[in-house]
Amino acid sequence: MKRSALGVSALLGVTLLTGCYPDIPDQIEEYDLVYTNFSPSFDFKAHATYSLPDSVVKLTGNLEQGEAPEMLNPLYGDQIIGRIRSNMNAYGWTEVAEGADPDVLILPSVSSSTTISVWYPSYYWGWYYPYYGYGYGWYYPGYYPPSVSSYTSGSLILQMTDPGDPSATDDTPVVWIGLFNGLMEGSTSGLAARVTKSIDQAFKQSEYLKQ
Amino acid sequence: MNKIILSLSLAGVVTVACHAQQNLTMLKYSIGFPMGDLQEDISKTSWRGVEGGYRYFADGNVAIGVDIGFQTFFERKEYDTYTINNASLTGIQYRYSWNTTMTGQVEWVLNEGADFRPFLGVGAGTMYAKRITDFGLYRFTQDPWQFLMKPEIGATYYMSGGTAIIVAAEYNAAFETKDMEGQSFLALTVGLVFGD
Repeated sequence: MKRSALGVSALLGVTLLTGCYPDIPDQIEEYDLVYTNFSPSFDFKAHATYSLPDSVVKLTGNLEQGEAPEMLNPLYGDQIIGRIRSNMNAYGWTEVAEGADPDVLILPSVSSSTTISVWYPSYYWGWYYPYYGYGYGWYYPGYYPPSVSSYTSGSLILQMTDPGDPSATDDTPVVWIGLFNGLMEGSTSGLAARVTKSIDQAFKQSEYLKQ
Repeated sequence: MNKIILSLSLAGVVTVACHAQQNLTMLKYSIGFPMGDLQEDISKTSWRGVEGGYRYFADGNVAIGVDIGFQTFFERKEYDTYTINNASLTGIQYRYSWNTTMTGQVEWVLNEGADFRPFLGVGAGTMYAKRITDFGLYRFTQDPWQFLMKPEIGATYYMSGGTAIIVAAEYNAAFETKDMEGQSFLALTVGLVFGD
């Protein structure tokens, strides 16, 4: 009897030990996340024009005041900017030159650091209209996007700012934010495809941007 | 940690010598069906569960004892968007729920002296409910202890040598805590009862 009991318990033990994680992600893209949020006080339909820089900023974490930021390789940056442009145009927005008083700006940046931070210094964009200086920052009116730590992730951050609405503290209101986060692994073409898909998804889940 | 506790518990159950007719030990395989709030989180049936128990017959028809069980649930949620207020988050989720149950039981057993003995029981105790949600690179964990009631109905069929086959349906009714909704599930169990 004891032998049969031990046999049954061993069988059940094996069942349990293999049962806690019956499945885990085995594809890189399974780790991809797309996050969006927006300011509830901003009327997107009352704004119709936008400007977009021709480069994607790399957030390196060690930029000094007055120093030019590093840019993402245009091979990838152009693809990101083009995808943002096509999504904005599809939603009925009109692109204008940065000096033509756009209603909003879209500022794309990438980070491969271990922390996603949407509170990085705004002087990363000091080279672009309206030429944010040292001491400026961001604020997110009516919502709080996440700042989380991880270990091997890369992120693409899209910030839609309202250049015509400087706050009393001189911070710039970010009225919409799109975040893509995932593993910086795999082939170049695979990563590009994931980024493209995620930009599309960010707009897809933000239908309130439609004009 | 759960595995260690469970292994020790199982070892303890198996090594208890049951030479008195009033004492029974049991070991059961369990299939779990999520109910209520657990079902909203994970809807798939669990085929990974085990339960051990001990019973002492206070008289020919009433038994008291304890049960310790472990049931794991899992479901992969496809690429989808989850919206809370203004925020939307899209990705694939892996959801795990590990439930360790510990109850004191009392049972009313019919057909004293017969091979086939149906029974009805109820128990109370606690459940350590650990819920893990893997969303992209991020993991969200909750692990409260919840009060547990466990009504059960089943039957044993005695074979030679004092060993019996047991089949039972048990409803693990877990109560909500401030951290998490009750993680209730129905368990269909089958196993062996050892006595003398």
